[in-house]
Amino acid sequence: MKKLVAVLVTLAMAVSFILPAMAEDTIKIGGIACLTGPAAMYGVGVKNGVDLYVSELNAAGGIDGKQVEVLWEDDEASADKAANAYNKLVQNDGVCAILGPVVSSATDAAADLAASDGIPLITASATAYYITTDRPSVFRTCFLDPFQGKVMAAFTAQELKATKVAAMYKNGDEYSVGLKDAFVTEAKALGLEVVAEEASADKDVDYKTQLTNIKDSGAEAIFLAYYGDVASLILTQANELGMDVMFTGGDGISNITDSISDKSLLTRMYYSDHFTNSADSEIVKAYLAGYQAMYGEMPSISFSATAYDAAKVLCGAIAAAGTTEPDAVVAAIKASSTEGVTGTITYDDHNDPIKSAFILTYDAQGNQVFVKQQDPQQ
Amino acid sequence: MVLFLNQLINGLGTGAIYALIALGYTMVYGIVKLINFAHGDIMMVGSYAAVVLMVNAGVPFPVALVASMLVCVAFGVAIERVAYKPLRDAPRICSLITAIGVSYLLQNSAQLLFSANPRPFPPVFSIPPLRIGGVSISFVTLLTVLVAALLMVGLNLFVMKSRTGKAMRAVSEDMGAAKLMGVNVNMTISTTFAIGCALAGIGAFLYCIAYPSVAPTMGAMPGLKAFIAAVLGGIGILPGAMLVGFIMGVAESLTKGFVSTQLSDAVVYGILIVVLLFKPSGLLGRAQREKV
Repeated sequence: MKKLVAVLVTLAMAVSFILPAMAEDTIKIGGIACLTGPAAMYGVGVKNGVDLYVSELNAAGGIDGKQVEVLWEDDEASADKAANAYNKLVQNDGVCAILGPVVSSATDAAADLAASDGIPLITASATAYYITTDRPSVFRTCFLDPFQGKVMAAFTAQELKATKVAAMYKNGDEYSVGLKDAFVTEAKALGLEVVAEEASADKDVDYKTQLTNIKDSGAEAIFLAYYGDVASLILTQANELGMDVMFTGGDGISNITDSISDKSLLTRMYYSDHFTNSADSEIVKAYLAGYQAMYGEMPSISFSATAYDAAKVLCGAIAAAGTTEPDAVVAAIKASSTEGVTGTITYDDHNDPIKSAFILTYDAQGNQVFVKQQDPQQ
Repeated sequence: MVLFLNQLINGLGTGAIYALIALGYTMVYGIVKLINFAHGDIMMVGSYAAVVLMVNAGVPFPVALVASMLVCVAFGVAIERVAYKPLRDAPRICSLITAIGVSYLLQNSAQLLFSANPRPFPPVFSIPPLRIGGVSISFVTLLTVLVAALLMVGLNLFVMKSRTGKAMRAVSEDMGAAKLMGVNVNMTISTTFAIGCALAGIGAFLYCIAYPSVAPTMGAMPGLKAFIAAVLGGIGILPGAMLVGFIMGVAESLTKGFVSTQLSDAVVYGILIVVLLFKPSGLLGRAQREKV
């Protein structure tokens, strides 16, 4: 009997030594996303993207033979819950890095804590500018809205071969003015002549006056810093004025098919987006096939792709650093160049990604057509 | 010069739409003495009727035009019966507030029924713009200006020459006396609303052809501009409303084109203040002596 007890005690001790050793063989990453509530669609999309990458990585042997485990916490898109989730993951679960949160307000709360702890955090979807400001350990894989103005300026110069361009924007609207400023600055830097910058007011329906001025200025392409509803009015009225020009715009344009009546006008419209399922590169096809196999459906939001890339950037950085020690991982992210599904991602001084955007247009029936992946000019 | 002419034509196009809506406004105000703030929203109702008929039911556009005018008329007459008639003897401020209420009721009902997202209006004409030298005039602009002018002339004849028109003027001058003289006041007021709303229906159609996007709040801004045109033209005076509608459109377009986009509304409302300071009865209005 005594012997049996001794054996059991020995075994128990052995197991208690082995268990932490086994735990050392997995790399724990914390995931924070709004998995319930009104923004759940985005949270679930982000989680799906991360889980897809991690399962692929683990199937291929993980990082240096260690499996990667993502522990998810639901923040319900609230800043308080995101902070609680961060504390639980870092203090109780001992994760080495955070992926997420999803919405900007929640991300701000978690990013604040991550920055003071020096824990690396990568969000796939928070587009507010201040998220990464003065927070050296906080990164993102989605680009900021004004970045698209830069990309579209490069596209206008290289692909549309325009030399004279004009821009239209809504006065007093952050999205619109930011986009327009980025476009105009980059267009000038690329040697394009910006012949007109025409403003409009909120809820305007008549853009003929601005268009007449632009027509008079001889612009060959017009950048529309608007959402699709306004862009559809501009396209229709430009056609009425008999203008023979091309139109470009940012991701706000993507709902234009809902509001335009004459779909044939859309063949003149080019716009950028974070991601499209219709891109024809190998890496995108592999991503879509993997997503389809794992979830039985195609990804419906582009943040699944940026989340996939966020996981790839983080895991790549951990592998490159050879450790989960936060400072080393942050330095590795900063120096990384990751070939993701949404383009090759490198980081600028503000920890925002420099990567390509997906340029899209439409056929005469209003179906989305993928044009190319446009890199910003460096 | 070409640029100036082009901007002038843009202004005439916008102005014609203001004029068209102002005609209905000024008729109702001139005869019933009611500022029908829901007039712009009747236009919105007509636009949705046209979209539903043309897109969802596949009705050809002339039929849809007549049908949406009838919908506007039905709404106008019903609103008059339910909301305005019981208040005819109440202080004027009551019916004014009721009109604002009706306006919000229509907007929010439309939002509930059709959601706040704008719906596209199907293309009706695909006629290339007319070009004279460097000046291009779009077909929609031509059509709107023409329709507005024709309707103004027709309506003016109707009010001045026809029997119903005579009854309308009588009701406008003195409702009590008209009743004593055997004029059917209720019928006359209903007819006025019916005509005003039919005009809103036509206005809705032309507005949608020019700006092919239909939304629950689409009537608010043109309604307000048309109201200003009606006031400035001299309330109840059809040619006045028409004239000021055009002036406002041109002033807006020239300000946007040559001064600043932000200032265009300020200029329009500035005109309102200046005109009312110097001629409170409107541009073509005659000062009325208070009868004692």
